[in-house]
Amino acid sequence: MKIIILGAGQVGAGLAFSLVRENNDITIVDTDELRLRELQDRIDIRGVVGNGSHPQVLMRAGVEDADMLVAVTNSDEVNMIACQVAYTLFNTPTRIARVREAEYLSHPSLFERQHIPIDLLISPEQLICDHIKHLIEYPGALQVLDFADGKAQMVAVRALSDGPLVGQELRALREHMPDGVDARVVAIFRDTEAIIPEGDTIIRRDDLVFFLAAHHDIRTVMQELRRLDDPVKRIMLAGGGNIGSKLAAELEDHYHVKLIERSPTKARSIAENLEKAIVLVGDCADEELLNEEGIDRIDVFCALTNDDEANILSSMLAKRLGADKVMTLINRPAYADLVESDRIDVAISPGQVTIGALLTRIRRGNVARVHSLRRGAAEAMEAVAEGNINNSQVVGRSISEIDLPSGTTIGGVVRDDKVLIAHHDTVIETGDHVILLVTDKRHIHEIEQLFEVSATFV
Amino acid sequence: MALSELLTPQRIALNSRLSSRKRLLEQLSRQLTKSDSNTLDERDLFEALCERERLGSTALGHGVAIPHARLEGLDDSRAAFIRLSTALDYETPDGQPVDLVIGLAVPQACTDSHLRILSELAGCLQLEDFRDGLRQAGNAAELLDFLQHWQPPE
Repeated sequence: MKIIILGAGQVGAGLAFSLVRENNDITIVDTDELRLRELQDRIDIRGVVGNGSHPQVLMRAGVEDADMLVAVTNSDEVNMIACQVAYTLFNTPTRIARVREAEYLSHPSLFERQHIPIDLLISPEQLICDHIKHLIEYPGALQVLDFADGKAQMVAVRALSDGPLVGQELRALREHMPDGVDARVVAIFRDTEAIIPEGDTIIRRDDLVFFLAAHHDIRTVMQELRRLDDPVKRIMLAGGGNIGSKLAAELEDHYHVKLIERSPTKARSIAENLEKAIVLVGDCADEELLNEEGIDRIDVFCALTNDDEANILSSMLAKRLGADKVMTLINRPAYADLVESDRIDVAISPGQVTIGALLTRIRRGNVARVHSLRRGAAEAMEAVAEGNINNSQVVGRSISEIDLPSGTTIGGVVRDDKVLIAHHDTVIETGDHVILLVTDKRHIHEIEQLFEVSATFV
Repeated sequence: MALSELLTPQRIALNSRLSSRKRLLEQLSRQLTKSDSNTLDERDLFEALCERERLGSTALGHGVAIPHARLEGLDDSRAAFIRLSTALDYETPDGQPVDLVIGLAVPQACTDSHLRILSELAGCLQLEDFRDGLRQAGNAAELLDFLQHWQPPE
């Protein structure tokens, strides 16, 4: 595919890295020539210097031949106008844009085809808020991924010796669980190695286990792998930026929330929009402040400023002062590796969360959701099965008959709003949302082909 | 064959130069809207063709693709033909670039007979003689003549 990416920042560059290996023709537009050149030194892309919403610049980037425009500059307005220009002047088939401002996002009709024609709107702040809320909802989970509007969820947990399933064969899982509860383990990561789960696979302590289950069964299944942590009651948020203030507003009805913001004016304006959460003015790495505010009784401390170093340091401090769990926004992948699981419970990469959502519209076939995992090395996908037994390679076939690439597991399907966990004899029907985990991204193209309908499908 | 009845000279373009699949689908939409009977919106058509391509490539191999879509407000099927002077990359099963393109617009509520046209066409396009005929036609009239007189081998 020919893809134009506007903006060579974290998300734009990250997306280029992940797509360029997949045989795509990528052009990146940015106003910063140096930044483009640095990127071109590392990957094989075309760079165009200029303002990405200007028709002339888009022409130089090859918009007349492009299949897709991904507008992820820092400016909402540039992103929106670029999509409008691409549609009106150049007929660009697929237009994706990042829009942050809630003032725009609260009016979805703005983005309809006859107005500002955007096929997929990405709001990183909302994605990250949702991500953190899920982790708070299931204490002990390292990842909680929604499929089919949250009806099915894929959860990653570290197996602990107090989980009844640990040390047992996977087939025991079904015997352990109450009637009506079903789940499927889709992958196990042991150290860095991915293990494809079979009935006789034995789960060991410290394995990172990914499983799929219906939303209401997640807790029951988690208990098989580790003793459940106590529910979260007290939360402290460090940083009152877009993410911190949004999260405080979304959490305050269900938890005791304290938010620390350095700037008094900003703190005041955040407080005006909150009813229950407490806003504190101060430095989130101030030991005295944290102690005064009862950091030792905090269940979850989230560091959400836009400064990686500040986030890491305040999280480490909070952990040492007695916070039960710390979650930290970390933009630089190398930093996340340094600290995760050792000093910080969960490192959250805004780039990866955003790229997963962008890939939903970039993957071929009718794909309803993509989550990028393990720094882009793996992918969880919800693909819609189209066609019939003659023009599809999946419809009308049982899971055991489907020719899946190695390292790939089907966890289940969502059919008519019902979650069906995959068994070897589950037959895929047209319209099924099939949820898979691909542990090795090199096989993504095979999965796309598997779900493609044949040339004569009408 | 039935294809000759769906084509008109104005919907045939030989020796087109197009630099990408996107431009090819644009050109095809433009040609498919050329008709006396019915007004089809070019943009709707283009988007429907793109959406269908997303579900799976319509390339058949041997340098042939059959982009098609169902359209609201269309009473009868119609076809357009493009022969490219330089073949295009088109995510083909055999990796061979595409130079012969037959586009089809079919009514939203299409019947078995509409679907049969497509499978008959796909069958013919597997035959080298048929593809040679399409590649060798000198002008639109010759192409239509070839299609009218084409007899599939027994």
